[in-house]
Formats: sequence, structure tokens, C-alpha cells
Amino acid sequence: MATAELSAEALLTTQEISQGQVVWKRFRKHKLALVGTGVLIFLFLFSFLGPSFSPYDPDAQFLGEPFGPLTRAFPFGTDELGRDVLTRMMWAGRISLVLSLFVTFNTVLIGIVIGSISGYFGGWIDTFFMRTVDLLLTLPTLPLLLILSAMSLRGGLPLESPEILNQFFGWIWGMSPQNAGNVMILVAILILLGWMGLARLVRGQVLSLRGMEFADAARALGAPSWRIIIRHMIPNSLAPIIVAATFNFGEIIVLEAALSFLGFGVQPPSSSWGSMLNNVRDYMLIQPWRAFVPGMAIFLASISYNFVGDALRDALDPRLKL
Amino acid sequence: MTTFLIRRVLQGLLVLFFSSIIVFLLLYLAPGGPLSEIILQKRQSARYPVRQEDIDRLKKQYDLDLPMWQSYTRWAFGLPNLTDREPRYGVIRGDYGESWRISEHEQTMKVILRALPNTLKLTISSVLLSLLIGVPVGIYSAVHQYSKLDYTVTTATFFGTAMPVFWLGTMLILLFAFKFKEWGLPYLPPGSVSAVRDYTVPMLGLIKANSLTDQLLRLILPTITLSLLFMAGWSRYTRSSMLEVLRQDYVRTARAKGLHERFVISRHALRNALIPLVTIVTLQLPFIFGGAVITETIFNWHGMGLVFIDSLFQSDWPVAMTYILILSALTVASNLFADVLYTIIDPRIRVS
Repeated sequence: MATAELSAEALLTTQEISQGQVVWKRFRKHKLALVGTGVLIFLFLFSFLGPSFSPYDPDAQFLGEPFGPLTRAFPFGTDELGRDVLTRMMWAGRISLVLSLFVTFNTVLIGIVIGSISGYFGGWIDTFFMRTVDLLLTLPTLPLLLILSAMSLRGGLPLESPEILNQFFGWIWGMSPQNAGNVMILVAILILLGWMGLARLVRGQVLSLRGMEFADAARALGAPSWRIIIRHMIPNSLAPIIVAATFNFGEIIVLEAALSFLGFGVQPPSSSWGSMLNNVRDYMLIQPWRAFVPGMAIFLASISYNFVGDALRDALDPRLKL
Repeated sequence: MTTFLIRRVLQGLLVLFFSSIIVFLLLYLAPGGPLSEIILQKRQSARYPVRQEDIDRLKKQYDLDLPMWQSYTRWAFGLPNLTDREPRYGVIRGDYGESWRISEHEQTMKVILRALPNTLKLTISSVLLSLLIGVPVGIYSAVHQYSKLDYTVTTATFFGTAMPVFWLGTMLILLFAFKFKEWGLPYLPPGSVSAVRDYTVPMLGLIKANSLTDQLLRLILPTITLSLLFMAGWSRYTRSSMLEVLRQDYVRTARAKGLHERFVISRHALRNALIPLVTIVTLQLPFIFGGAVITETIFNWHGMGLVFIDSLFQSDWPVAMTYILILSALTVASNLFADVLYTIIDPRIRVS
């Protein structure tokens, strides 16, 4: 026995590498994605740790200094109410980044549940869900988002997020639960209109996996449907889901910014990068850098997610060699 | 083909029926409108009291007093015809309801369609510009794969797709409209479809308000802003589709016959590579006729998108709903159109 083991070990000439290492090795090749990862880490640190290094309160008004110039005390100047722009950028970043994370997490969750059920069971369940997806995709996204947020702003939508979520996000965003609740309505609308693409993707994956031998094997062993879905279908379709989710982050950041820019997104006193850009529209002709600062943050976040998504698509593709 | 067409048209109509229900539900739930101010006045103003009868009369005028389903059938089909109020013809017979605020008592469709020429001017010119630049660039970077230019283009398309339109537009206005004016360079007007009064631009001289030059100058910035996204997407698409075609046997055969490389690419490869692009462009029909909400807002371009934004700011829900309905009808139509076009230009595809 001992000799057999020894010889087997001796025969192993190549070193074993885990899947994570393989993915990382491929990911590393995409230089822009590495830069993007760095930028994203920076943006998150900036928004989450930044405020503890800032001497200012985001809502504190420094009287006599509205539209302050770029000074050492206020590196990005002060806004129309004399508040420090740099500090406000940090807190706005929390809203933009956390909002896109939460929206993407939920759209992915809904997409996985509906897509896998639809793909696995087929039949009338599939028809029902996929026709719903078709119908929702027929409706124009941006106008519908605008109309829903416009209505919710006028208090016309019977939507309310759970109190515990409001308190949690209010704590993260540094605002009252009530203000957080208003932002959460926007979140709900974004989730409501965002899950269709992912559901379609997951359904396609499950549809092709369902007929594979390992699924038949699991079925032959007597595994119930839910177990096959959770243990076999979903883990095997995770790679494209991760890629789609990464791109989704970037899209949601831009979408939220666009809504806020048009005046139907995050409302004062809260602000996101998009609404900060909207606020400076009237003043940017005098001081152009005002429009540059929040816009650059949105752009950097969006393009970084795009690069990371692109690299992940290559890194997670098992057909590609190292 | 005929059965395919009939089935698809029926499916499309069904989809439109359901989306009209969704749109109507929103309309029904919508707050504001003509009633909210009246009700507010009733609550607040003692000097000009609003009587309950007035509110009821308004409610009746807008069919807001009926049960929801009846309100829907009257809005969509003009049925049932009630004796105590004015007849409605329904969306199905071209009666989309009346505007509440933007242009009171005018048909919403009329209000929106008035902005169609401006929208077409902007969207068609940007689609043409994107095709004119995006497609050749895509072809070039496919033919010269992994060259320096290919690498630059691929990176640039990333920037193009990730660039928030509203920020790009803002930056372009700042640079070309204001900084250029400051520097005494020939600047571009920052927005609006046409000028109100004459103005002079360095090197171009006096420009008459609403002249052709004026209108063309004003078209430049919004067109560039709008084109960038399409350009990025379409060049990337052309590149990948061209790469796929170039790998095929018949291209190798053409080369083996000794044909000139330029001829192989332009006559053999390109024609097949462009097939998927035709569909992609066709799917942009809703945008071409529906306008671009964000770009039109930034440049104060009086197109359909701006009418829509106006209607939202003024709580003119019927106009907003009609806009959404138009867009979904266009989406259904363009999907169908793309499918049909695909089977016509690509003989390999058969309708099943």
C-alpha cells in the first residue's frame, strides 16, 4: 500500500492549482481590469472610510463661503449652500455604490429564482414567466422608470420599504430612516424593472444543463427537483451570472445617476453623484470643474465595472486555455 | 411565411393589449393632475372656495369616477358609451385622451407628434453618423486584429459604452460652447433647435436666426453626444461579426482563388458580416421615432423626449402614458420588422 502511494505521488509531476488560482491567473492578464479593480477599491474606501478622515459634516454650512474656490481647507470647494463638496462626494458615493450593490443583488436573486424555475420545469410555468419577461421588456425602461419615480415623488405609489431596511440603510447613508425610505422606493423601482435580463440568462443556462448526464444522474439517484436546482443547476450557471451582475453594477450606477440628473432620482437633502451633478448644472458655466467632479466619479465607477466584467468573462470561461 | 407573419402580428397585438393595461393602471393610480390642485385649493383657500360639485364635475370629465375596468374600456376601446357624458373613441380608434396641463384639452397624440420633426432631425442624423464611423472602424479593426488601432478602438468602445450621456453632453457644452467662445474660437451653440436672434461666430461671421447654418450648427453637439453610444456598440458589433465571417471556409476559398484581399473583404466577407448589424439597427426604431430623453433635456432640444420630461414635471400623466404606449408599439413593430428583414436578407434562416 505504502509503495503504491509513493509511486502515485511521484508520478504527479504537475502542481495542482485550484480553480480560483486559474481564474486569478487569467484575470491578471487584463491590465485595464486590474486598474479598474483598484479604482473600485479606492472609490469604496473613499466613500466608507473617507468621512472619518473628513473634518466636516456633509450638511454643515460654512456661511459666507458658498461657491468657495479650491482651497486647502476645501479641496473641491463648497457648494451653493456653502457645504464642503469633498465630504459630500464621500456620502453621495455611499448612496450611489450601496444602491447599485443592493439593486444588483436583488435583481440577480429574482433572476436566479425565476430563471431556474422557468428553465427547469418548462411547460406552462416557463410560458407564463417568459411571456411576462417579454411584456416587461417591451415597455421602455428609462421612460417607465422616470414615470414611476415621478409618481412616487408625488406620493402616488403604494410602495413602502420595510422599516428595518430603512433603518439599516439610513445608518449606512447617514440619514434619517424616513429619507432612506424615499431612496428605497427608487431602489424598489429599479429592482422591479431590472430582473428580466438575468431571468432570461439563467433560464437559458438551466435549459441546457437540465439535459446533461449529471442532472440525469442526480435524478436517477432520487434527488428532488429543488435539490437539483440548488446543488447542480445554479452552481453550474454561476459564471455567466457573475459576469452579468458585474456589468449590471455599472449600468445601475449610471441609471441611478441619470434619473437623479433629470431630477427624478435621489432627492434633497440626500444626494448621490447624479443629483450632485444635477445641482451644479446652473453654476457650472462659472466654475466648470463643478460638473467635472461628480461626473468623473460616475464615469470611473461605470467604466471600472465594465473592465472588470470583461476580464471576468474571459477568466471564467472554461473553454479558454490559460 | 404568411402564417408566421399572422402569428407574430397577433402575438404583438396581445403584448400591446397587456402593456396598455399596465400603462392604464399607472394612469389610474397616478397622483396629481388637474384634481390635486383643486382639492388643495378647497382645503386651503377660504376666499375662493371650491365646491364638491366642481370636483365631481372634473372627476366625471376625466372618467375618474367610474370603476377601474369601465374607465379602462372607455379609454382603450371607447366602450361602454355612457349617456351622461361625452363619448370617447378609445385608443383603438385613435383617441388617446386629452392633455391635462401641457396643452389643455388637446389630444395627447397631437401634443407629442408636434415634436416629431425635431426628434427625427436629431435621431436620424446621429444614426447616420454612427453608421458612417462605427461600421468602417469595426471592419478595419477586425481586418487588422490585434493591431495598435484595433487595441485603441476596443478600449475606446469601452469608454463610449461606459460614458454617462448626461455627463458627456455637459462636458461638450462646456468645452465647445463656452470655453471656445471665451478663447475666441468658432464656438457651437449650446442648445435649442434654432436661435431667437442673430449672432456672430468667429470665422463664420453673422448667423441669421433660424437659418440653415444656424440649425446645422445647433445640431452638431447633440448629434455627437447621441452618436457616441451607438458608435461604440455598433463598431464592436461589426468587429466581432466580421471576425467570425473572416474565419469561414468560403473566405479562405476566395483568397485561395487569388482574389485581391480588398475584394475578398468588401465583396465576400462584408456582405455577410453586415447581416446581424441590420437587425441591430432595425431594433433602434423605437429610439429613432421616440427620441432620446436625456440628450434632448441637456440640449433643450424640443423633441418627443423633452415633451415627455415636461409632462412628468407638470404631472400631465395622459401625455406621459401616450408616449410610453407609442414606444412599446414601436418596440413590438421593430421586433417584428427585424425578424422579417432577417429572413429576407439571410437565406440560411428559415421561418419555423
